Amino acid sequence: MENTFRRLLAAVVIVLAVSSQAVAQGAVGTVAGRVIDRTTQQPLVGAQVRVVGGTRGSSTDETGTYRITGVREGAVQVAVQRIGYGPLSRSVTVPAGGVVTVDFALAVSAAQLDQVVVTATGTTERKRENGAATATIDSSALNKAAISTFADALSSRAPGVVVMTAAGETGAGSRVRIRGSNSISLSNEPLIIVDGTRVDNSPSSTAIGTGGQSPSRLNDINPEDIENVEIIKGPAAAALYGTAAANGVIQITTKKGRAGQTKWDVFTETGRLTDVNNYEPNFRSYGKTATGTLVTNCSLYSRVSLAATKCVGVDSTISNNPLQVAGMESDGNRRLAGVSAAGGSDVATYFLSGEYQKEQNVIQVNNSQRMSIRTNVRGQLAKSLDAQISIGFTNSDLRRPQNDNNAFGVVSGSQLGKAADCGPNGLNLQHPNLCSATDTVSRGYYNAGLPPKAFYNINTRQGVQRLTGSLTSNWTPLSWLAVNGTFGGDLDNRNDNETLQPNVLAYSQNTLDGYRTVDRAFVANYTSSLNATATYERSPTLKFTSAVGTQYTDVYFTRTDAFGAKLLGGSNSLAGTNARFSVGESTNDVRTLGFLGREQLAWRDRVFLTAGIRSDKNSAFGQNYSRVFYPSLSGSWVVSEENFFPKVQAISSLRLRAAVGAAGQNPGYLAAEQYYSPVAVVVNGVDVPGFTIGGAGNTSLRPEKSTEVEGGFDLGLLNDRVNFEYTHYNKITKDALVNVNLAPSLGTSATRFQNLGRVRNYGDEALLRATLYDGKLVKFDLTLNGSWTTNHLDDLGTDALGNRIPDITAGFSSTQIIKTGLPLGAYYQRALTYNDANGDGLIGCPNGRGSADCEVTIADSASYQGSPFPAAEIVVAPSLSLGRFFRVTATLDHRSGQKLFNYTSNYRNQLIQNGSAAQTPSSSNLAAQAAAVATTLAAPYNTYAGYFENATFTKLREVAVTLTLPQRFASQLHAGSANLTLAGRNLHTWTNYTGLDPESNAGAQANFTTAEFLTAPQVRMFTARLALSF
Amino acid sequence: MSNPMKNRSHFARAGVMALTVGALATSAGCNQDKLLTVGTPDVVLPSDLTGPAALGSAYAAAIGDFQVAYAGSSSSEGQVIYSGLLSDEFMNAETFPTRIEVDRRTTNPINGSLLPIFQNAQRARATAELVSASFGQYDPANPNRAEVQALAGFVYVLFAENYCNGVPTSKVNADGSFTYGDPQTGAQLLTTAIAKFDSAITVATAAGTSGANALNLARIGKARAQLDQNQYAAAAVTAAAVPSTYAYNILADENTSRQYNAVFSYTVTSKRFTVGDREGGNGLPFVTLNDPRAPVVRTGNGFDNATPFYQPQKFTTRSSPTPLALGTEARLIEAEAALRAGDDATFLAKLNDARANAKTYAAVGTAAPASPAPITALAVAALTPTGKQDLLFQERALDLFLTSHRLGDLRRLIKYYSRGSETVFPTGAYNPVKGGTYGGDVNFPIPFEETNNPQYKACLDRAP
Repeated sequence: MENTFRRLLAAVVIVLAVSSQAVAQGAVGTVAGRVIDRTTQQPLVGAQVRVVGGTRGSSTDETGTYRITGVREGAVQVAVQRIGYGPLSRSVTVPAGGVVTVDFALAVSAAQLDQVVVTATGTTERKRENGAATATIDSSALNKAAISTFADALSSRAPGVVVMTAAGETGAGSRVRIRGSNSISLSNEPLIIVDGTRVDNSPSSTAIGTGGQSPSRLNDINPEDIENVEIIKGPAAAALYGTAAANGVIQITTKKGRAGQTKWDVFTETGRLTDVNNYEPNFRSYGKTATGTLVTNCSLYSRVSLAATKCVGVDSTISNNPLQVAGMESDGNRRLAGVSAAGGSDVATYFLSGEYQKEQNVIQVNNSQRMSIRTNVRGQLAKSLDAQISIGFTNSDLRRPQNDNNAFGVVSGSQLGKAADCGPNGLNLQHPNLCSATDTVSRGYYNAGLPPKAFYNINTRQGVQRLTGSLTSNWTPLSWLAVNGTFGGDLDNRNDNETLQPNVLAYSQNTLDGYRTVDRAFVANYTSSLNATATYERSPTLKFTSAVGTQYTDVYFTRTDAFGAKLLGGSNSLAGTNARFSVGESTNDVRTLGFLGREQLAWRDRVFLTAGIRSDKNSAFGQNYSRVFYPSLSGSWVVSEENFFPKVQAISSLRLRAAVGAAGQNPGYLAAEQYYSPVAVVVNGVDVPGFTIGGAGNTSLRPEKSTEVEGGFDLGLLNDRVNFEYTHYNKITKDALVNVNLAPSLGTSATRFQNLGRVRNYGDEALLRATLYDGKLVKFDLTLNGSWTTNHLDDLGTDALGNRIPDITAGFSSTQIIKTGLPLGAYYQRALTYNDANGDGLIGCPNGRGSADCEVTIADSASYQGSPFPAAEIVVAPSLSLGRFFRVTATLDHRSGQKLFNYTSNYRNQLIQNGSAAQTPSSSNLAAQAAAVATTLAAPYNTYAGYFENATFTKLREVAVTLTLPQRFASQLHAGSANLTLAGRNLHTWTNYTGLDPESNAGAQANFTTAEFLTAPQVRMFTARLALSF
Repeated sequence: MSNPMKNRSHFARAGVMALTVGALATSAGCNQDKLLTVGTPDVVLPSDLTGPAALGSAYAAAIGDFQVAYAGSSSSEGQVIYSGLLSDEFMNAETFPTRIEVDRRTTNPINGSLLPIFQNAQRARATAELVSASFGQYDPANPNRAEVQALAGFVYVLFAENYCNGVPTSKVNADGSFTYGDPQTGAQLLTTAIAKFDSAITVATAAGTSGANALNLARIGKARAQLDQNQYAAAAVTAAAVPSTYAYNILADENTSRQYNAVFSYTVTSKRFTVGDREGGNGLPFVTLNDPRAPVVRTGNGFDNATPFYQPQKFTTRSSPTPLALGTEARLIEAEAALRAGDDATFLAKLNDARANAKTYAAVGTAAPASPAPITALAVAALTPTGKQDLLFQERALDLFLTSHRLGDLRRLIKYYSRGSETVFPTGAYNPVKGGTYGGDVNFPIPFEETNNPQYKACLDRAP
């Protein structure tokens, strides 16, 4: 591999060398000017100004001025954009060696037709040029005080982009779905590109399980460093990104410097995390049999029993909430401080930033620290050549709690615990058959005889040192030709480890012995690309833009694992372990080499036709498959600029657009290979090397390919004060890579990837931005975005003999299914109905299904019970400004159409029998009783159907109030400006879901597994942030 | 507007660009295949495992896969635990619904815990057959070949004893294609098993002294299969030559978690399964008996914090071996043949021979207790025919405790001794901690995933 990268590096050097020889050939000039508010004539700071079709750009300073050097001579289009204002673009002629002044006066507007986005070939274009919808999240639109992770920054911002946050743990990741799930067995997470370099997008990035939640590498990205995020939603727009882009692309551009005096920004933030969730206590009812014998568990089952031990009268019901009585949680906090500097001259600009953040979750042993540094430097190496180095470094340390599917968990241990405080006050003795007589420390936690905080001694950590860097060079050798190259890498050193000191956790001899496990991983994403773009103006009304390029990516992973038991007390090293040593090593390497071409025709700057094709070879393709092609075609027509378009005052702009394109995903490493895995085997008392079945292999594996058609319109109303975007899409994934279960009787691997299935996603997206009121003192903006997604499996396919592939079960207790005609991961069980026939307020089935006294009815066969993924999301984000000094924003998120498996309730009411349905059954909770009873029936009629709850919710995710402090206050701090923001996150949830949180998921970042199972729910966060500019 | 390219062909320009990029790519040494070549450092390819030099690791592979299938590992229960759970040896003391299903005799074919147990057994079979074939090609007289053949035979026996009628055996061909097998009845599986044992006996006999171990292993396997076919007299003949002190153990080791003794892992380490005591009314009183061949010790409650936990003392470390074939089993087979023949004297002698040579167990660091006292003739004489059967099966249950014999024995009681299934299997109200009642399973269903075999639809029947 070293040779490979040496060569690629050589290629970059060659590009630069050739460029430096050729710089004299291209003449360049400078574009400079000022951007102001058209109404107030005040300068606008932070407006982005870019040369369309190239890579050059800048942003305005406090005086509203900007300066872009190294612009090719001749006619260019200069575009400016700023949140809340209508983008503008203007054609100017740049003189060789001279300066052309272009001033802009921006009007308040919601329209974004001339907003500039980055293309797959590294250049820029205006949105009007692309027939596919691309969402943009501008950093300035994010209220940083209200978000703590990059997932928060993405969530609820763009239609069709659904971020599913599974838990309230600090450091827990999220699932991200753009336009539904495409893949049955591969990842459904989008590709992430930072400054032209592909980066690790692992949603579940750890080697040590703690029960459910895992860190996501997405959240290593510091929202503070981001200038903007472009979301290329599907293959129609992402075709040129090729293999890996089927799930969409999140393209992040980090902040850059700008010519002018150094500008310093300093901020500090403090916050509080509070668990406001309402945990149902653990119940236990006591009663008597008909003969007066004490019944120590007068559960629902005992009350409906036909046995002599039936509980016929309840004497008392006790309850306990171990989480609270044991003081396992306390308010958490968040601290954040950062500084950045940006400045430069015509020949060089820079941006430097650093940030330190620390978060303590409500769970004592869940906390994180992160230090981030970013350096972006751009240099004008010659008149027609520039280079930009972008480097971001993150060093983080996360301590993870035990939770979810884990009997050692903080929430799980409490939820599965006892109805009595088995504490030091002897309460245990008052409640027979509940607390162990010798247990005076568990406080009702699940593990009797152990103080719950003893489990806090399990020290599970993840340390990450991540360096993401890229070198991008733009060369304009000729006025019509621009070449750009990028060489970048995302290098992630991850250290997962877990240590348990000896003699601190008396759960078993294993825990008493202590242990340490260390899993060190190195994850690298290398990207090298080279693109050339030529423009050709056939006539003043007809322009062609051609681009060709090549891209090489290598996604490499290696991990070394080690474990040792019987730890020497005080040691935190493998060196201190003395028994059961174990080692392991795993490697993963997938490489892609792609070539792409793109041709765009622009007619009168209002009709655009673009065709493109990308072809990839990939190391994970089977031997019998060589190359994949991804074609694309798009059209965009700004019909309102046509002469024939009626000049209606209400309609200020209308664009019609359509696009079709394909993108793919490669099979996993080794998926195509038949192989064996080495194992140790003891033979005649001696360990010798052996092997066991690894993978069955499939030499015909090819990428799964998603083809998408989309169409829609952008409508500007009332002088563009209202902008409405609508898109309909239809996406089909063919040759879907299905990790098919192999018949166990083959005696080979459990599964094998095959190109079989066909998955369909279709839906609608709408975005409304409106400036509803824009007075001198008051401004009120409203953004509404909505998406409606339908997902289903068209066909699971057939095997080589033409037999249909059997359904694939998934999820907790095999409650989910991959089945033709249903959404991927649908809940699938026998339907349940119930009837309290005897009117006693109890649901029973003591003689089994079908018996006369059975009050539940179970269907003869399983059927669709709902999808765990929302079918619709509607986000309301109002913003109210009072003068220049006060602004309040909010985000209200509504998701509907999804169900959630309340597995926690099942465990509490069926197996542990400490839930309200099991211990305090009454006519008010018949459905919950029926759900529990149905799971106790004999297989195959034991159904979980009663636990698939409607998880529709509306959440007030964010509210933020920003005060621009008086100048005299800022001046006292020697600052140019000062802002104070007070924000809250996760403030309220409206839902009929009976569990803790309709977003909870112990399946966390798994592709489809979804259930609330003893998961720590999301917590409320309030923050205060002071930001100063110098 | 100045545009030097205005009069040139746009497509010619595009060609120039393409050539430029192509040239740059080429200058970077872009041999596409080389750029896309990745290593496979963590695995071995089939080509690495062919030829006589690979026979040693292949032999180990067969042993290793059988160990996981039979005795389990730290993360897989194996046939020993699962058959014990469905029978009366083990009771569930935890919270996993899928394993509670097994214990409650209501296992669904989609039960997620059932799948790896069956998969591992099929892998053990496939690996043993592959390795046996490899020995046949490169070193056919090697006694290790006989041992591997016998292990393959044992997998067939376990299929017949523990699963419903209808277990298929399929094959991955050398070219990677699949040949699917038809569902087979238990009788068919046993016939295949006996053929494999016979083959092993032939190879082992020819190997002389070095084949003695494999020979006795194959003899016991064959006798067990014959017993399962109700050919008790033939079984006694087959078993007769096996010394009473013979033991073939599936070894375990602390070296890797794959090699851990599963019973230790699932009892001592995590308290998932407790030894039963009259489970479901019909179960043997393993706890009460506390026989030195199957001793137990109370260690609080199970993982569910509610079910009293009795830890078996037979497997006290991660490295505890699991017997697969014992000389005492040969005696017990002979005893059964004598019982069926009405020969009480031989019956008693064989039982006591087995008792005298039985391995006894104790906690770590303590001396093993003495063998159980001989049974007196008087005691046997006092028994009814049914009582003698019960005695025999209790002796088998204790001597062969947690060796995946008990489930097959309960089925034999139904099939060959005219017992009702609800008189031998746990029945009635299930563990009150968990609720519900016992179902009617007398064997395991074949996992749903087997429907990927086009020849297979479902169990042929669930009969004993």
